[in-house]
Amino acid sequence: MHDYTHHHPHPNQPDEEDGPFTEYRLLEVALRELLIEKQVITQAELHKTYQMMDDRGPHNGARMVAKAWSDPAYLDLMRRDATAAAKSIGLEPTWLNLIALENTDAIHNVVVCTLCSCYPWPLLGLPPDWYKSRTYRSEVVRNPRKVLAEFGTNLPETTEVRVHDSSADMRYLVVPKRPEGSEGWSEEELAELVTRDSMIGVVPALAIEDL
Amino acid sequence: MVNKSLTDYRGVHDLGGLLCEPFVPDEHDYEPWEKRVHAVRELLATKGLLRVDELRRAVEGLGEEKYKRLSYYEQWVWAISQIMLERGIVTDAEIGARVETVHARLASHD
Repeated sequence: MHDYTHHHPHPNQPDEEDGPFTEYRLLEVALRELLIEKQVITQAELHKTYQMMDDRGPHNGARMVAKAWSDPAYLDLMRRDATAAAKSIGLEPTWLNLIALENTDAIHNVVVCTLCSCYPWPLLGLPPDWYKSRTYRSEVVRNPRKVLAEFGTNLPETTEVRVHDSSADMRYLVVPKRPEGSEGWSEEELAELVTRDSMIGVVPALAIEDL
Repeated sequence: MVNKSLTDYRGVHDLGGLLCEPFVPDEHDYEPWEKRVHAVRELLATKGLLRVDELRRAVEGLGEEKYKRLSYYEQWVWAISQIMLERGIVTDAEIGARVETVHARLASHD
């Protein structure tokens, strides 16, 4: 009997064991085994998918932001067609329709999916729990400044806050303001300043002294 | 008008703007089983066997009690199973029997 669960951890997964086996955890194992036995999916395909998932992460979005900060032609492309901008540097936006949102002193953009969990995951990886939480989804459209304050982001009253509600077919990537003092930095150095949360729009990019 | 308009209807998943308990930015590392659910969903989608709107219909059809009680990936694994049943890829009996087998096997490891 194959045991895909306990004794053959996938190489790309954390070492810690899963929590207790609930009804739905059992369902996960049962369904996966049945799909493999019926040759609907294969174990090799699953491993390839785990690998792809691990290759996704905020480093991808950060590359786009750093390039947009550095290269006016790339920024122009991001403004016109962010999906094409991702593809042009070899990133995997697949089916994503992507819109880039630029944060400025005048306008601060923040992203949510009120209905579920839509997120530009090829560019940012899997979303944090709070992004999927009932409270974020309820509250950020009603009182975005209060939610931003929970992240330590306190914007001046003169900054307009815009909340963007993602959908299955449309995802957003925030381009945070370029940190002061980063003039002359290379794209690789700039990318270090661009965090996941800054591309969701709940915090600014790191300050240069934070590195 | 006596009847409520259609726009008064809100699905259980339609949370934008509702009053709620205070927001706290929590997160945890994804557990291996959660990543496995995610990978299975993605693979089935790639093969044209699970569309995102099907998954969402199933999740949104969980009913209020389950929608609130189940964790995110518990909702997903239930929803994926529902779609696989609907598409005739697996049967209820097969899933039921396999859950029992898995349960017995894991219990014997403890």
